[in-house]
Amino acid sequence: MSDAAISFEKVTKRYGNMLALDNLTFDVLDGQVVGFLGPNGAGKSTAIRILTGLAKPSSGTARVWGKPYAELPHPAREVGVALEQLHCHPGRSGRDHLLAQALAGHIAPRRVDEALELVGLSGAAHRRVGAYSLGMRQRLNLAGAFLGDPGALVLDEPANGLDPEGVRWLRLLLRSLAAEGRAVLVSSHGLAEMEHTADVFVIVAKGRLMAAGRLDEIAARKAAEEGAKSGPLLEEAFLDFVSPHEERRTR
Amino acid sequence: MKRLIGAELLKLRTTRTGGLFLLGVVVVVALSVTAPSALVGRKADPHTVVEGAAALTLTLTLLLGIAMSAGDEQQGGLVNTLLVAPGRVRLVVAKGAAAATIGAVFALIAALLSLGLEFVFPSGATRLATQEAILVGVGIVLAGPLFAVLGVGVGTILRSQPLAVGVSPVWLYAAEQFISQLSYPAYTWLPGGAREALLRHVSVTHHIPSMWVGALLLAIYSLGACAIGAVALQRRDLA
Repeated sequence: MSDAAISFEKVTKRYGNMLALDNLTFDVLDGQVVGFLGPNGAGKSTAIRILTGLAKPSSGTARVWGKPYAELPHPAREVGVALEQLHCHPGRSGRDHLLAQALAGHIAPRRVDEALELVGLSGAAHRRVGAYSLGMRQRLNLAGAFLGDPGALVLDEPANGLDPEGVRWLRLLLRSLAAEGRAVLVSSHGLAEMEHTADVFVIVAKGRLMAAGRLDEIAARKAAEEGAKSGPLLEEAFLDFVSPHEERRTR
Repeated sequence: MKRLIGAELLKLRTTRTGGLFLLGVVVVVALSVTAPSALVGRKADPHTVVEGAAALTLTLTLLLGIAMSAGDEQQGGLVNTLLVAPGRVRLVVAKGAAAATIGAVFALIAALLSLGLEFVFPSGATRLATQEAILVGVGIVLAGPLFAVLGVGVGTILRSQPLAVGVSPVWLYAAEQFISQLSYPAYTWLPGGAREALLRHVSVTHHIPSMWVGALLLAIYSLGACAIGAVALQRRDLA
């Protein structure tokens, strides 16, 4: 077993005949922002749902701090999770939504106001979530992840719905959290943004790991495969790794 | 567990759902107790009138339990809670306990309101005897939490709030009534029959089990439904 904050070890997930994840293995270490990249349907959200115990793997293990999510004594204080969409009753206020999470997760209520402050929602704390804009809902989603001041973060498409200023805010926040020694796993479609945010990239397509490592390592590997002198940027590397696979799928 | 129950109660308290159900209980009880005497004079059986009001209240507590389970899953609240407290069986237990608490409160309000209104505005020529009124009141207060827990179990099993809300009244008021026509003794073993026993239903043609048998039977149905729901929830992947 590795001493990584987050680890996927040969995780496979089948839905009937469909293979959603195929032997996925990678780690997220303390102080790292790992960009989890892949086209739609690549299996990123499935992997995150398996990691957080919402779905069961067909085989393999996903662990946080060396344990399956369900065995963490106080998960909310150890790993903060923001799924792709905010799950909240539209009639409940943002503050009450977080209060219920804090209560269930053994988190001090004062953290609710701190998390709202962190994501810039203090002024809208008492408004109904149904009246929130898409960006505000995403910030509330992120506040839920920060609630327990956890040592690891798992964020599924956290920039969705954020305006350019919000995307920049998120990038700086994730970098500062990693600088504090926290492990951050963040799935995204925003390749250009991820290039500035992540230290390490994990590229998946059709449930399979296509490449993993620092951008220069991935680029060097791709360049070596193609005999080129210099490596491509993340977007080019991503498309290089993913496109042949996508083409194979359509044949 | 106390914090998990508290979180479930907080979820209910911070939306309009709980308030609307409480308003529904008050309106339904007030109308069903006062309407008979207002419409046809003091010709009704007071026990039957109170029992009718209680049955509607119990249906509302059942629907509340469904809202707390299937409704919460459809709104995404279930996933949210599981991210901070991943024990699925514990969560079903907490939902059951929270629903039982609210169900008891609703049932107490319904019992006091229906018996009080029946005393002030009698629906029949004679009033309910004090001892009988107390026993019926106890039956309502016992049945309230059990029906709310049954709702949590049914909602957890069926997952879909519209389906659970549709199926439950149809089962209670159509399927069970049909079964009662075929075989009343068989009906007394069903949830509706257990409810009648708890509310001390009077029948000159059929044997009605004691209210304690009814309570035990309803408890078995409620806890059984929650146990099946917990096993089903434990096994399934959540989106």
